Amino acid sequence: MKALDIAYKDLIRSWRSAFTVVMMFVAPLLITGLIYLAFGGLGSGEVSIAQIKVGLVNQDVAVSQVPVKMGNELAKILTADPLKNLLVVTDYSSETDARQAVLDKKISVALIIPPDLTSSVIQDNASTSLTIIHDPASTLSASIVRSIVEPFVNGLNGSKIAAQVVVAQLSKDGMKRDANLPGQVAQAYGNWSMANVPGSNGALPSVDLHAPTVSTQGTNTEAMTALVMAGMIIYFAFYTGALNAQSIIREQDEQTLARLAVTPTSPATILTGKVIGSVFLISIQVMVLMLLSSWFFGIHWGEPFKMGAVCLALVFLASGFGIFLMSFIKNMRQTGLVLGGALTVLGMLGGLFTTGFQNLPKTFAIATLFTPHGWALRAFKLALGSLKGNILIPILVMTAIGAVSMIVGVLLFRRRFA
Amino acid sequence: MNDEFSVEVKGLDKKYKDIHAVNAVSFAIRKGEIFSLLGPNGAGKTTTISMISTLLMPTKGDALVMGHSVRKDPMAVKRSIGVVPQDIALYEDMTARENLAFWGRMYGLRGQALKSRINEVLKIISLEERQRGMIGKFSGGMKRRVNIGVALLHKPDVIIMDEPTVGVDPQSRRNILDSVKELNRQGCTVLYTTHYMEEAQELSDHIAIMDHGQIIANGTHLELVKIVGELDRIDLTLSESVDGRLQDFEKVKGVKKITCEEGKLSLLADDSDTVLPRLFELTARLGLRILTVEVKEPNLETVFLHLTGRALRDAP
Repeated sequence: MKALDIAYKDLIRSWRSAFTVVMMFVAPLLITGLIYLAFGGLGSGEVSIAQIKVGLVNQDVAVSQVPVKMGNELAKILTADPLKNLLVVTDYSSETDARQAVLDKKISVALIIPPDLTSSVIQDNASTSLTIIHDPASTLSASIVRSIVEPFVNGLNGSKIAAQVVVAQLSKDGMKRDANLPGQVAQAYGNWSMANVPGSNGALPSVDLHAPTVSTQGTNTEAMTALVMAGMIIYFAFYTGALNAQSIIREQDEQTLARLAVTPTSPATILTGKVIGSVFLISIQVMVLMLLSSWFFGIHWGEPFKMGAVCLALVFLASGFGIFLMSFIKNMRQTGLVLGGALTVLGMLGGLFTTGFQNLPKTFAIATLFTPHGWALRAFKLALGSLKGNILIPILVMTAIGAVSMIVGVLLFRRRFA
Repeated sequence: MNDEFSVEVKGLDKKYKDIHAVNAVSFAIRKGEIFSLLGPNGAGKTTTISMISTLLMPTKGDALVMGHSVRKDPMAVKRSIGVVPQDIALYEDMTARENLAFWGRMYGLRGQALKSRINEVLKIISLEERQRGMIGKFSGGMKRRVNIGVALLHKPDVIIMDEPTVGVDPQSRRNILDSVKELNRQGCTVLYTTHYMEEAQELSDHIAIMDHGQIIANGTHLELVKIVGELDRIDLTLSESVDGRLQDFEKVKGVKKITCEEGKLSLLADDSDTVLPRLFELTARLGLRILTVEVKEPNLETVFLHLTGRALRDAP
């Protein structure tokens, strides 16, 4: 119970220290945020474009010679799966209603399909046009809709030409003209055209061009940000561990440790309280950093069970290692050596500051494993899936290093305060 | 266990490599009395009470507090004592009430008992209105009062105070001295260390004078003053330093002990009426001018001067 009182007191003091709070939460998020922005986090396509609200007025009338209504085909394209995340299509009965909706800013773009769209395909000299009405402030949305509609219109034009060529050729050869032939030719051309656009596999080129770009680039940025954030979480978890262990030295300097020693509280209880405080503090820090980084940078931290185990091992390791490091420190003046020096050097050797770099020498990857930080980073990489291997190994190594350093640190402290 | 005594110190000894900090110190404190350890800085007072409060393990000897040995049963000793350290030992980033609550829990107090006791202690140290204030923003005197309050939380049998008035303003000093007397009136045994002779004289039932790690005198105020006998103390302020000519003053008939600090001579003499004319004659012969003359009744400072040849203020 007294150990919990000591831990609670340490937590209260930590929350009241602006320096501790900044080093626990603000610094790691800020550093990751700067790297995220520097590598184009916001401009990478990872941030989704707001959906475009499109009003559709389909006035197309069926023609007996053409088996399908072209207006319906265009509507199908606009509402097809690949565009569902980009367009929200609402049907309107008249052009007037659609215009009003644009004026009322209920939709950004209105697409008017004329009644003679299908018939224009088979009539020799007929011509018609699709109308795009848009809010003057939504030129980008209008351009996007136009870029989707244009290939379809080009396809229709191609179909019409194909039908005209076939009919003309048949007439020239003196063959009897079937009334349904232009429509059938146009349909056949349309199917062929859709199937043979390079790289489209039948889908609209504009759709296919955008989808893979967004997906690939987003994944790379996310993976890199996740690794950078993991490095920061590890570095600052160790920092918090050392900072909390430093409270033993601070209490020694403030004379409160001597005062604790004359209360009926054993040294073991005092040290247990310090360890519990450290574990609590780092647990809260790691959880908050993971949640906030998910929110700010869209990081997916992988399988919860695996990542949970890695985090637990990190909390244990950082707590134990902090006590171990501080057990060599005699007074507050020397703590800067550990907090600013030893932890930073170990962090660098452990690869925490180079997580965003690709193709580092293999020897460097091996060298990182001579530090506890390197093992923690390896565990995070395995949990995130950016490295293949057995995650249990780094977790066990982290736990072992944490246990050994905690035991050694506690023994050294006990000997000093005996 | 001897029921008469709260504290019995038997041949306590503490050595650090080349330093013999405390040398075979023995004394006993009766229940309900105020006992002062008086001595200059570095005399070994803090080391002695650190051993009594279980903070330091004695090299030799033992101390019993309420019958419990500091060597064999330190936990029982800790439960019996409340220690007021020389330095402020509080958490500056916590309020006075939070500090008292934390330290109360360290003494095993919980729940309503803890709350009630905190309120009582806040009343004793006259800080009820500032209980929600951060210690870091308190004046030195207020911090000292909270520092004392912490030691009272668990109603200890013995309170050990290590120079609690060092560096405080006169008003806070008065408040602290009154608190000590009040605690004693309530039945508390107090072990008090100080290098202020006036404090020891005002508070104590018994006084032990320490120097160089040893008890050089022990008794009531009257008993100690009797050591000096009929000697008078004469303080002379001279126009210039006489460091190199002290032997001339030592040769004056009737002068027993002499010490000099910042141009001020302190002498112990058989009879001030006969010695003073001789001193005037000597200073005239040496070409010195006497600025002030003071003849004092024997006090603890006189005792210290008599026993060590040094004034309490210029020791060690």
